[in-house]
Amino acid sequence: MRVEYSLPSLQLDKLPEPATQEEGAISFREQLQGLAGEMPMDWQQEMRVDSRPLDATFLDPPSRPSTMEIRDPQNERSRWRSMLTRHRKPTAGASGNGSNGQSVQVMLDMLLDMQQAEDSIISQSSALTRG
Amino acid sequence: MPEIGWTTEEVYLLAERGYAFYRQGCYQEAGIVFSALVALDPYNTYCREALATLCMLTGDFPRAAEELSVVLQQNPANHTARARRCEAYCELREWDKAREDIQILRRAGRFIERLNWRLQTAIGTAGKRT
Repeated sequence: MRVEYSLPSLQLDKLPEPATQEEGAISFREQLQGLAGEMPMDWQQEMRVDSRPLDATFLDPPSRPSTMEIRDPQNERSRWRSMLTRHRKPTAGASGNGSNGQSVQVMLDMLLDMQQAEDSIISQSSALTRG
Repeated sequence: MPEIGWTTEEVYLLAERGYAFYRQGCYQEAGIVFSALVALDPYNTYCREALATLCMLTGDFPRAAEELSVVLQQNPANHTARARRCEAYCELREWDKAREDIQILRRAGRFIERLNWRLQTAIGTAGKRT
């Protein structure tokens, strides 16, 4: 038995005709518009958890000051670091005055401890990655 | 305005961090941040309301009512703060003060249904306990 491995050549005149607008087909733009209209709701809307609960234990996020420029994450991190370092000194602002100053100092100590822990985790993981 | 040496942007950065702690359920840490922010910026309503919220979550209801009273002294038309304080009074079983706040909110037409239900539930629970 002889096997024919070659494929027949493409014959353009035998190709099926593409569907035209006259046959009632919907245009691509119309299809897109239809999709936009039928977009499913956000999961939070679907589950009805998007509305603000009337509860004393609920907190909204703080609103960003209009004067504050948005920087890239690396700059944001350096800004955070420099702020902690600058205010670590007890002479700065309210950091060293009375009970108010004490609460500020407690916060700064906690945030600096967290920063150091974060730094040590990063340095350990980078050392492991290097081998 | 924040204390000398601190900027509004820095207060915002700290408030954002405090809010992140709150979202993670780290209420003690969030409370430390907002306590400091109230000291740094005493007229910042958001920070004081946030501190009151955290006091409610950690069971420090007297402090919550106290902080919300300061907010209401600054702005008596802050209905959200009044509704929160009403809930704190319910926890403290200070029914008359809670009813007083509800009366004011009724005139404004805000949070009434929930707070009435809250008050009745709290009175009912307190009655069962005693």
